[in-house]
Amino acid sequence: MDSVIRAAAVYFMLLIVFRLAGNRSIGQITAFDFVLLLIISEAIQAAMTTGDHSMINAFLIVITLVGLDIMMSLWKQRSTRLEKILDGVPVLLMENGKLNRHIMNKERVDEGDILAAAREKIGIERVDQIKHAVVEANGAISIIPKRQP
Amino acid sequence: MAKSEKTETTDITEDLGFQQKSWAVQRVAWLVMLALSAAALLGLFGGGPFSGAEVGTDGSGLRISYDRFVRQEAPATLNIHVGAPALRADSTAQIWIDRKWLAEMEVKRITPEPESSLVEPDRILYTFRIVPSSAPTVITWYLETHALGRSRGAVGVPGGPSYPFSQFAYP
Repeated sequence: MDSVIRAAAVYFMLLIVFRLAGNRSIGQITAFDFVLLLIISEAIQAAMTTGDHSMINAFLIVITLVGLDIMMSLWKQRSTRLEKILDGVPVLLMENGKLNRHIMNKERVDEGDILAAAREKIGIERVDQIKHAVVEANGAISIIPKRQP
Repeated sequence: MAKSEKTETTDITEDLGFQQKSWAVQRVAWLVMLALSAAALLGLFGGGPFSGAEVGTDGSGLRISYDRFVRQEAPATLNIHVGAPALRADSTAQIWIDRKWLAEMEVKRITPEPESSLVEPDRILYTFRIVPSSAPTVITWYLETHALGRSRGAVGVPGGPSYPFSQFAYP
């Protein structure tokens, strides 16, 4: 009983913390973000197992976490509102070649990040070649290039 | 890959028949996971309403609460409620526990601590000093299970009642 309740508590706690932390913190993972994830998993692990080293405990924790994730994904598919709350919504950083500074500040993205995404994904080299730039709900930056004249 | 066919417009090798079977298997697996979680919440894998069990009665002076389902390498407890009928004239109570069962457990601590323990060939005899009262005194054994599968134990009072119980330890 404990295993399932503990795993569920950890799932929702992490869901809230990571949602509040914002898209960008996990979307574009840096080496340090990765280290942070490892430390977080290490800290959480002790709270979930609490001295119970049995295989059945590990198995129950895994199926609870994965099962909750499946349930939430099914629920999100039926409710746009929940999807917005849990995943966020895409926002335009750049519209028709014009940077939206206010949104960039809020999303903690700068011109360098937009250019990096543009280079990485479609080999664009200058800002004036970009038509739209979007922070997707998953935190990734998508780039729509201007049509070549 | 006999069924795999390239679609007309792309080079993607799609096998919708196979994918449909995977989807069906996934849906069944989700239900199995849900059922296992529900069973765990009810205590079928230890620590819940279906797991807690009792033998003995307060009237006999000895009542034992234990878990039907325990887990290997995990903490477990054994609560023994000692009532007035089990007390001796010198305000001590003696309780024995089956050694064979205890051998598969690691006793972390006993609260309250026994005044003495005596090893007999097939059981361990604990002596506790207890002030007589109307309510039974609870003595807790904090254990770690090393057993795997079914194990049988017994608890009793010398010359008095004894109660066998059975546990199942998951890996």
